[in-house]
Amino acid sequence: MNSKFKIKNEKWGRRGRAALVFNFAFLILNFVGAADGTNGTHTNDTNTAPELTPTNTRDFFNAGTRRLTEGKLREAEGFFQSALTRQDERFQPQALHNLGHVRYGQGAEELKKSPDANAASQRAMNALDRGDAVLRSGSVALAGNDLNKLIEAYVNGRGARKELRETADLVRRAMEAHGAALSKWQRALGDFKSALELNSNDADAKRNIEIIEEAIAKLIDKLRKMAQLGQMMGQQRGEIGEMMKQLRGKIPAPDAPPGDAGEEDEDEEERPNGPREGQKEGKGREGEEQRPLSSQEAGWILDAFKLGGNKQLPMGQGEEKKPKDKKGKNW
Amino acid sequence: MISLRSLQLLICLGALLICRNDAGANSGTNFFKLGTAAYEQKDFPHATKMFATSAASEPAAGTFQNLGNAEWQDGRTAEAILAWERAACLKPFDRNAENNLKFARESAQLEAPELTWCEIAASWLPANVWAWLACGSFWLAVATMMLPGVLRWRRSATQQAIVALCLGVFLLTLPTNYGSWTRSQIGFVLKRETPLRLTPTAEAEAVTKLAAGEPGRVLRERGNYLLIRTRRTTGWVERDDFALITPR
Repeated sequence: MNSKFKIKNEKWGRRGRAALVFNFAFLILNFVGAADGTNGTHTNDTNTAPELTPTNTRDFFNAGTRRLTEGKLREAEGFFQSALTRQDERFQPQALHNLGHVRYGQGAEELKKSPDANAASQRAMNALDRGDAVLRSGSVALAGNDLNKLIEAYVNGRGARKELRETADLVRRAMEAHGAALSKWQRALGDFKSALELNSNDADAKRNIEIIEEAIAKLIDKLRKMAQLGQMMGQQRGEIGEMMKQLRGKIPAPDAPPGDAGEEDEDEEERPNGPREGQKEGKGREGEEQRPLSSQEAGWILDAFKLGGNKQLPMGQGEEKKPKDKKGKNW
Repeated sequence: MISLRSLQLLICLGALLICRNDAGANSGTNFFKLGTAAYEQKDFPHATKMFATSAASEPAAGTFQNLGNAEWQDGRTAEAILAWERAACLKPFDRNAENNLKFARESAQLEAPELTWCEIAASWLPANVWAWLACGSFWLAVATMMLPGVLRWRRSATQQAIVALCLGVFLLTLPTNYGSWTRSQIGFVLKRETPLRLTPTAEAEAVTKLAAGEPGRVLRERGNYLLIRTRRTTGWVERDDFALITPR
């Protein structure tokens, strides 16, 4: 739960913080109110009260709320779902409301595990900038006949390609995690909407819907941006590969960088012969074998992220192409 | 005292009512004929429409049987099953509908509705026959008990036997009538991959997806949603996605 507060505080500002505190108070009140009910098996002290096996809807609801306050989101989700499955109309709005909280928290946890979207985007942009520079120097080298320049351009191209590949993988992982968070938040949004539909007086649910819609819109913006960068990186890798092919054609065989003639340098680890002494390779980042994100994959991932209902949320405002917060905190 | 004018008016109203019923029956028959013609010409969508209109104005087992056949030919398994179930409900002795149902369910890998013992007993005769039996036996028992006293007849053993028999029949029809009523809560999912919702809301989480033609029993209603129990689970479906054997 603490992590959830932090996230809302960081990203949603005062409005989100106030809403969350209010909602949390509401949640606790619900829990206490339910625990004071008929069976009397639970007390307000969530830490010391012995917990019996839930037998009725109230028990399931209370057990779920207890787990939610303890931060055991997966268990809380199970209890709330069990409470809802029992189809007791008295508990459905509250159970849905709390289930929305649980799923929002799960989404936030997914984001915490994910590579930072801003950092990944920034790294992707740096890699693209470097790729541009490599392409420019390669064109110059190809126009002239300076062997050293040709070799240097070739080696730089290899480094740029490697960096692009690694960055694309980072972006892909960030997109996957953001996608998982998005699906959780969309479900949370559905839960709050359902809670509001069953109890139109639930002002907290209404406020939460607004907050989550806003958060989802931001998340989709980030996903779109990352998908766009992934696509650009894939394209640039192809261009660099083409340039490297031309460079290799112009470099005489004895001076050619390591690797089989006519092959592009995909993975130097796979090469039978390593770099020659005295030859420098362009800067690359450390990392395991990576798989690049193709434009098609990026499209598929984005297509999966549809907003619920017909409501169109506000998308990017245009300034996302160059993130301002280059050292943004990890979600 | 009823005046001559009032009597004439009453006769006219009665005649109008009879004519209207006749017209309804005629239009039902006409639609049935049109449906049969369309079916023979393999125009199944049109045949479906005609049989459905005929069944709406004049429900009959044969019409539902043909409607089911047309729906089946048109590739609408759920609607075909529903029509045959309705036919079987109206005419339990007719084996055609039952055979068709068995075949359709085997083809579509669907299960038949789970019936209680009183629902099985209720399916031996048409639902209205059970209602008539209950009413008839009850009033016959009452009449046999009361009339000898009113008409000053001598009570005989035969009369008492009739009363006992009628009351027995009445008591036996009670569970079957209850079965007919509970059977009327059974229906079928009409659309493919109908989401079974956890809550009766538009944004509800889907518990599972139901196949078209899957049976369910209505437990409760709320707004545009019906709480149904299938063989495996319970959840809410939209009204339009589900149809009862006996429409309300």
